[in-house]
Amino acid sequence: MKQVAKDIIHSIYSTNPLAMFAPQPAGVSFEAQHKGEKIIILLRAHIITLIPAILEIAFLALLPFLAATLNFVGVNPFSALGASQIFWVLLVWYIFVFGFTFYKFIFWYFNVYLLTNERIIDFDFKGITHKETAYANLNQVQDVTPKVVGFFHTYFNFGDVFIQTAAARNEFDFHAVEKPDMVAKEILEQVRHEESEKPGEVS
Amino acid sequence: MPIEGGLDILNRFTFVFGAKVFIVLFLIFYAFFSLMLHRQIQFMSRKLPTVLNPHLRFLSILNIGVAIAVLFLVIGLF
Repeated sequence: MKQVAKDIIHSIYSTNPLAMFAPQPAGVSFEAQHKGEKIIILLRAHIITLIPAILEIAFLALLPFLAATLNFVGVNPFSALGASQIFWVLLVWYIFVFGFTFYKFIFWYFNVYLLTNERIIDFDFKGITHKETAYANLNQVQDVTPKVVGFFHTYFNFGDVFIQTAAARNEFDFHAVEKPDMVAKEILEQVRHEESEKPGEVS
Repeated sequence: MPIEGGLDILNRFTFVFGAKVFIVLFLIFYAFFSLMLHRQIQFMSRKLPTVLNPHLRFLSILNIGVAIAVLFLVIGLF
């Protein structure tokens, strides 16, 4: 079983730019990457976590149609506007819906967790004005705890991986990532590998 | 009757004017939002270069352009 887990991570080179679990992702690098440092896994939140956002977007996209149905019960919210004005209102509305969708996508896409052969890195994109990047060397990792709680989490095999470290930020939370057990196992394996290296060695 | 008709036209004009002001303010806010989004994408593209980043940057620039173009069109044509 351990061998299978190892094979998935070390034998696949993910080329999918939208992958939520990307072993050895091709075409991805990061700022401050050391020479010889390679990305072992790139993780994003599971696609299931986007369902509330998708429902919100669907609701916003359908809202003008819902407003139009009010006409049947005698309420016409657009009665004072001409046809061209209704066109502009709808255009502005759908620009907003596009912007909201784009924002939600960017939010998901850039919230990335990386495991390299040297470090763990957490790129946090918490809002339009809030971004944060945290690094911890593998030799600072003290404890790794995968946690899968809930029906959907168990069914789709995703959950949180809590990493206790001796770095400036003492806890990393890989939130809602796919295959948390495999991720935790791989982090521990890389920590063991790092501890067996000479100080300063990158391999 | 003419007074009621006049009031109706006035109400309609006020509503349309209010709607226009609201939409213009909304679009100004949205243009700033899209600028911020573009800056975030630029920043994150430097932090984490991926193959999708040029497309995202293009979309964000398009988003700013459309927001500003629609803002001016609404001011002129609404």
